[in-house]
Amino acid sequence: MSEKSLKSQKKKSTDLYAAIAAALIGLLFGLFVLLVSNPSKAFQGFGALLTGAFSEGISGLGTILYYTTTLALCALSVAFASRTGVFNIGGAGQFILGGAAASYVGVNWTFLPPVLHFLVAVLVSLLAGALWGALIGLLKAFFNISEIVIGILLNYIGVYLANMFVLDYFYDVSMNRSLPVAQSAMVPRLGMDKLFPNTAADAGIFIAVLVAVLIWFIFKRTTFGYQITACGNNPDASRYAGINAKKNIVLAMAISGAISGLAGALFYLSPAKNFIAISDATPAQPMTGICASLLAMGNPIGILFSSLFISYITAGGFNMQLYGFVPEIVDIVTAAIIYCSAFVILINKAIRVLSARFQRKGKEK
Amino acid sequence: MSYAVEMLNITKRFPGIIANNQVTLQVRRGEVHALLGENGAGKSTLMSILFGLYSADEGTIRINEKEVRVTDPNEANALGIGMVHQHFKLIHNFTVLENIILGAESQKYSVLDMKTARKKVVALSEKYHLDVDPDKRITEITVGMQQRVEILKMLYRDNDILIFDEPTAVLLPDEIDELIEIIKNLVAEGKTILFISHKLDEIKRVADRCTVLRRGRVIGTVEVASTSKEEMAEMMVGRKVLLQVDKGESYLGTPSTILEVQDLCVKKRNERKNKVDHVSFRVQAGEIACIAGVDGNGQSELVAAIAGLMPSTGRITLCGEDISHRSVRYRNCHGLSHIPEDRQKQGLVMEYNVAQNLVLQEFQEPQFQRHGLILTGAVNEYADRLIEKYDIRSGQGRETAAGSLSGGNQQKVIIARELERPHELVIAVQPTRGLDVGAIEQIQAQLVKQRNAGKAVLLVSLELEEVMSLSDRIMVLHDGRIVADHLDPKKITMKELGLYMAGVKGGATDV
Ligand SMILES: Nc1ncnc2c1ncn2[C@@H]1O[C@H](COP(=O)(O)OP(=O)(O)OP(=O)(O)O)[C@@H](O)[C@H]1O
Ligand SMILES: [Mg+2]
Repeated sequence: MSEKSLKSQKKKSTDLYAAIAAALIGLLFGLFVLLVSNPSKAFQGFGALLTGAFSEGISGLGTILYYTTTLALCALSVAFASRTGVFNIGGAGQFILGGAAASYVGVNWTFLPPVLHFLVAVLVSLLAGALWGALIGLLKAFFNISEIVIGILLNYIGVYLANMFVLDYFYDVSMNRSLPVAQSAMVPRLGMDKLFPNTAADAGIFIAVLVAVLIWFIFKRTTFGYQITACGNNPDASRYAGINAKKNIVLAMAISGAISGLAGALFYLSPAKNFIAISDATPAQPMTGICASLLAMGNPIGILFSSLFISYITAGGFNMQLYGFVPEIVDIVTAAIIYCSAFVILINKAIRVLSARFQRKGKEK
Repeated sequence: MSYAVEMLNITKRFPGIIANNQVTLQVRRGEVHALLGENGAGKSTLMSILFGLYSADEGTIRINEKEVRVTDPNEANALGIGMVHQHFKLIHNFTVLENIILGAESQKYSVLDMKTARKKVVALSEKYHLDVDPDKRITEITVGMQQRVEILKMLYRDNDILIFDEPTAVLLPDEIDELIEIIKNLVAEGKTILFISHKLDEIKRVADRCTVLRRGRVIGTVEVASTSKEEMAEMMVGRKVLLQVDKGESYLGTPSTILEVQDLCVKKRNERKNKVDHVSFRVQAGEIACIAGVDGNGQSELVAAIAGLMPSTGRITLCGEDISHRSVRYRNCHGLSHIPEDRQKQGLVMEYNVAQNLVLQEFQEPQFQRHGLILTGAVNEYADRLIEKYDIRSGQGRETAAGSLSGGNQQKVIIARELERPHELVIAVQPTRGLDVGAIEQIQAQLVKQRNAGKAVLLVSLELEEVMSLSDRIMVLHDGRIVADHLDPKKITMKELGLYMAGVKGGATDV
């Protein structure tokens, strides 16, 4: 094996160890929270958390995959933007607008034939998300406004805009939510319901995997990926090289937004959900997506696995309620695990330092 | 004889390369000991080991006759070792005082004891004639001052073994003189100095002994006073080195104007005065025209304007075409090559490997991409060819990340890239900064070759010797204006040139 592949392998494996260590630390911290809140049942509860996802057998995997779809796409959106050096915290706005736009098509454009109806809805969600993302990119690139501030503001505007949109065009007064999406616009099941009966599983996960592979390819092989990575790593050098950094930031944010929009579409068009509730809260998945992206260090393929892990814990969390833990505690524990995972970068560094010391000790002997 | 520092049989490996191979370095107490070696010879690595930034794979370190283990910079500090790095490590929006005490805060009842700290800093600054104002922010002071802050940092920690890694690479000629004074003061007070430099003159002036490294090995340690510059250069490179460029025949083709700048003005935002003030000049095919001047007199802005990186008024014509309003990319593709001033900030993407950096502008050209897909094979082939041709040394060839190249090899990557792309004009800003004499010889020869092949070269350099030996014509920029534009390096003396640069002499008249 060549030196190069050896080294890059070594780096990748430290990344992997760090991610696993981060996840373990998160789990320990979760256990600690449980011990504090309810010592007598802590270990039972923790067991439920760890195994709960499969308490109903293999069909549990269906639920996990269903969560993974949305989460992975949100994380991919964050990862894409951060390659250009932009922190897309505005995923929630892009997500809800993408979802609302897709739902509108799903509810109203029933003249479209089944598969096409779904595809058009998805396309519209991509556009809505891209628009909302590009707005951040534009303000950042041309007016140098912090993407964090704009992102957070646009999240709120996005949520209220989506509410307004639902209220005006496809509102179900009796349920205080949007009208249900037509069957023809729902995410196809493609046999996932046979494989995992009685779960929310649908074909969304295949789309998420496809997007992950596509992004990996863009970063790895295309001139576009080369450009945006250069802009992210060294804006001055990119300018010097004649790379249009402004254009790339806007474009990358549009794509990042589109991915978040797609996440929203697959979430709200899923047969298990198919409506948008009128609510002032920003959707949570995009925030969790930031953690999933951190845990995987922005590696698109890694994100599939980090999202799988977080989804597994989330699914397990529901089961803890069986042991009398109130939902709030469950939320705290899962959140603790998830956010601890975000320490992965720190741990990565620690592993490098420690392994260097360890090697030296070994040599001295 | 007592040694302050002994590094015995030190070996340090990086992936693909042995940066230090059984290196033994012995430094006497109270001497200035120079380290000389080609780019990538392992000087910075060796010093980083002494300072605890890297750990050696093999070998022992003895400080003041006692064996020690230096595992991190704090321990180095405790042993009295301080280091000024090749690239400074200061926090920009902190004041000088804050930077100095950072990490060595003196506390009284766990409150920062600023008063005592200030007293000590001021006293040290006076004792060594450093002239540092403790309340200025780092952003407000010159690079030379920043370096003194680094020196104060070491003195504040009572270090008595001081490492300087290429301290003069970033300094102006008179700042260098001042630094040498400071170093002499330090030695007079009993400090021991380790001094890395590529400039043989400086080593001659300041050092007592010199250890020469080549490709990770020690070639020898010599008494500086009894060794000539040529001998040292030869030890270091392993062959005879021409310390003076031989420019050969001048270009004999038909003279044609490649670059014409007319009435160019550059103004920075929020500044009233023009940084570049109504500047006009031409550069012909087959000449090396040099812009000399003291740093900060508008050179950077002038170059940035020509390269399209900074807005300007006036007219810039390249090969007969008005490019004043063209994009950077357009200029890059239509005959402009640019070796930038700051290699780490502008010239390279540190996370990218050598191959990727070698196609920083050209990755969009048809030979390197098809339908938006990068042709990795073609890029790699091209990279291997340039690495060979320009002797870029690294651990893993084209796959080495630019960030882990030695400083001089980073510069070589940029030069290879800019000279290999199709171009008519090369703007070279400080092209040999931080390079060893062997590499300087090569690069100066490359620039001369460009000229002899009928390309135009616009050289911007702060180093008078380089200006004098390389250029065909010297222009002097002072306070944003060209105060002389046809000085002949064969006729003018360094002293006269200095007067022009200081703005004492000059105006409309030429020599
Ligand atoms: N962190 C690192 N990882 C991998 N290789 C490294 C690293 N640091 C240095 N090297 C390699 O070790 C060798 C020695 O580098 P070093 O920086 O010590 O050279 P140097 O003598 O200081 O050169 P220069 O005069 O150009 O600064 C080089 O080939 C460099 O590529
Ligand atoms: Mg060095």
